[in-house]
Amino acid sequence: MNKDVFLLFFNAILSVVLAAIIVYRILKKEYKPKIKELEKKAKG
Amino acid sequence: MTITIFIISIVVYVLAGIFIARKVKNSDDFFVMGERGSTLLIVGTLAATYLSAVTLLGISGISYAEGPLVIAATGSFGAWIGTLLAIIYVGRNMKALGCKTMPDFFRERFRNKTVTSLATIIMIIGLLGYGVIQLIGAGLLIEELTGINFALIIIIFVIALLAFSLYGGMYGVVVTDTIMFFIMIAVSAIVAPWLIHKAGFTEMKSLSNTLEGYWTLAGTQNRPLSFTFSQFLVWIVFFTCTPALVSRVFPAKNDFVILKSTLIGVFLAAFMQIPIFLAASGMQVIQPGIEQTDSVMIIAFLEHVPSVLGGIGLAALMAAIMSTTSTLFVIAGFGLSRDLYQNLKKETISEKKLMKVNRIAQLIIGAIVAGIAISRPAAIYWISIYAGALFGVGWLPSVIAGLEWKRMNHKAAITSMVLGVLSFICITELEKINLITLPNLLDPLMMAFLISVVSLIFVALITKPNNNEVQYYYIIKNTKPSGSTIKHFLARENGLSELKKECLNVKTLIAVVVLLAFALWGFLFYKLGL
Repeated sequence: MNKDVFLLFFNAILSVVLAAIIVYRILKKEYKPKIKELEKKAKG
Repeated sequence: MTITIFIISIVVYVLAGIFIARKVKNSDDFFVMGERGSTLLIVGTLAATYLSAVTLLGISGISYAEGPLVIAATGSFGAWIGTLLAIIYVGRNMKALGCKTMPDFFRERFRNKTVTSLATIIMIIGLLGYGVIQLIGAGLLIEELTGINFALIIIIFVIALLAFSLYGGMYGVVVTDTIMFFIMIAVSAIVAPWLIHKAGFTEMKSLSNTLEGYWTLAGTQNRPLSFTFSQFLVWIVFFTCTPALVSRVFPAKNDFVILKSTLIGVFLAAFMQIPIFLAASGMQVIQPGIEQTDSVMIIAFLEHVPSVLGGIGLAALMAAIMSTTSTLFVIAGFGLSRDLYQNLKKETISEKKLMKVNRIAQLIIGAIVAGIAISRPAAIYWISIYAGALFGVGWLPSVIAGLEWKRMNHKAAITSMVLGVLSFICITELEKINLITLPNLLDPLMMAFLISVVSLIFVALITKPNNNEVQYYYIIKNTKPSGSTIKHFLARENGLSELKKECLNVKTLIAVVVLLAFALWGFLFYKLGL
């Protein structure tokens, strides 16, 4: 295995994975609590 | 064929720009396209700005001559991470604060004319350097290919760009960028794979037998580790703070558009580079011995793919140049009018006058750009070296501290900007004439960045922020980028279910993009790395 070639494609995947983690975290921290709160209100 | 494509490209973009200009009704349309940007438009404009003549000519040339990993493995990785931070951190937070240009942030955060003027001057010089050098490089190549006089090419480019940026503003640029994006992506998705297939994976891998180090980070020139590391740093600090990328977030319709654009934009950042660099390396198999390496992709388009694909390749090159330089016109024009002229004026300027001043500013920028490009002074090389780095050493520390640190104030910002820029210029020049030697693994940009950060922390610790600065810091901390989007959705009839649906769409997109990245890059690693 060529480690330098591995690094290129690993970095390409890593940048997408990092973007995915950050976006998922935003959904979880900023949107999910608000949606739950509104659903509770709607039910109550 | 080259002349025909050159003329058709210019005519199509100008017509599209003129059509869009009719939709611009007020300054909000002009500066941030009325904040109506869909995911397609934001992704289109981000990706079109991202792919420049530097990628298609300069870095492709290095990939051909020294190996595809020299810049791509770490330098490009810095650019991908920089793109991520520019969209999701700097751009998203500034948009939430209501910024329409990046200097808006400096104006509101510090309420100090020196800071805003300094930030704007750094921006204009940086953009001029970056844009002009692209125009010169492209002009020289088109002159060589078509025989059209260099000065005439530059004038045609500048007039064409002004045709859609002068009246269309950001609206015109975003839409024309998206049209250009479809042509550019065809190069990564069709033309580059065609060339790679023609060269063959086995033959490409075997290049390291004849060209020692071809498939290593050091490349055939055996570049030191410090070069690899500094490339990563240069691109990450440049991209995180470059107005060309950050300002693309401001026209987004809502926060979901920004989140989706982050995912697709970061994937495309790599997708629009790696296949092209690999195709350039494939050219080493197809046609070894090209001396003018900057022309490698143009030779590939003209001689080694079917003429339709070659035409797409050349049109993409024109698009890459035009999208990058149109950004320069619009943002530098905004800088001169909105950020500098308005900042120095005591009275408030009316919306109509502001747009008029902006158009005059764009004309001035156009004249300066054409003048510099045509005269090609020796100083342009000097400007090009510093252009990208200016945002990193001049802006980045103040932007991050401005967003995150309560003690941050205008004195710290001024010190950091001035010392960052001056130290970068001094260290680079002193090193060039061998008056100083930097230790291994360090380069002028890192030193200047360090000086900029240390001076910022030092001055912020020995001075105090004023009331305005503290108040705005709390506004930043209490402003959630998702806030206005949630409010906007809930104002609709089925707001909650639409909000849930959008969250689900983003989650699905996360899965699709991650799977696509693993499949595509995994396949290429299997073919080239095992």
